[in-house]
Amino acid sequence: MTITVVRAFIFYIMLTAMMKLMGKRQIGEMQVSELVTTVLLSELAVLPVTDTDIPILHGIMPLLLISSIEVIVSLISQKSRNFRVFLNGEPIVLFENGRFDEDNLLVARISTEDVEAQVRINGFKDLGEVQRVMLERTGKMSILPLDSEAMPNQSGE
Amino acid sequence: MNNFIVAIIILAVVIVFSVINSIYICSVCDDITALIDQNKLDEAKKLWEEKKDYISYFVRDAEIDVVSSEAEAIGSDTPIEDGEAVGMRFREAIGEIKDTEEFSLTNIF
Repeated sequence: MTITVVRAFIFYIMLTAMMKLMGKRQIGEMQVSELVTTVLLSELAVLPVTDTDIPILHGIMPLLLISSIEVIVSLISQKSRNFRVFLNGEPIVLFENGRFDEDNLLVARISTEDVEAQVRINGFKDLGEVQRVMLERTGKMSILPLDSEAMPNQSGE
Repeated sequence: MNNFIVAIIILAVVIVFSVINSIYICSVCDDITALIDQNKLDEAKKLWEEKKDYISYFVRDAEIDVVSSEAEAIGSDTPIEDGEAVGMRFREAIGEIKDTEEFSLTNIF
C-alpha cells in the first residue's frame, strides 16, 4: 500500500511537471494531438501506480517520451502551416447561405439537428438568422449571423 | 523555445537510456546463458545475484522472481543429473527476460 501511495505521488509530480512543460490549454480548446497525449498520459500513469509488479520506469519513460514529443509536435505545427493542417485539419463550413454542406457534414459526422441545436444554443431563433456555421479545429462551432448587427451573445459552447 | 529545448533533451535522454539499457540487459542475459552452457552454474547464479537489483528496475517483478527461484535451486549439493535440469530452467527463465528486452519487430508488435 505504501508503495502505491509513493508511486502515485511520484506520478502526480511527474504529470504536473510534464503538463507545465506542454503548457496545457483547457480541454475544450485541445487539438487532436493534445487530446491523444492527455489520454495516453493518464493511462500510462494508472498502470504502474496500481500494479506494483510493473517497474515504475515502465510508466515514467513513456510519459517523458510522449510529453516531449507533444512539445516538439506543437512547435513544428506552430511553425509549419502544412503540418498544422495535416495534424489538426482545417475549419470546415457546415452551413452557408441557407444550405447545409452535406459533404462536410458527413466528413465531420455531424447531423443537421446538431447544427440547428448549436445555432439555438448560441441565441439564434433558427437557421434563417444565420449566414454561416463553421466547425473549428477545436471542435467548436462558430456562427456568423446573417445580419451582423443582430448578433446575439455567443457563448461558443 | 526553452520548452522545446528541454523536450529535445528529454527525448534524447529517454531514447539513449532505453537503447543502452536494453543492450546492457541483453548482454547480461547472454553472459549468464553462456556460463550456464559451460556448466558454470554457480558463476551464473553469482552473476545473476549481482545484476538482479539493477535489472529489477526495468523488468517486471514476476519475471525476476521466476529467475531468482530458479537460481536459488542451484547449489553445490545439487546432483549432476538434477543440475542439468536446473540449469535448463534457469536458462529458459533468463531467456524470457532477454526476449522481453530485445529490440525486435516481434516484441514491438
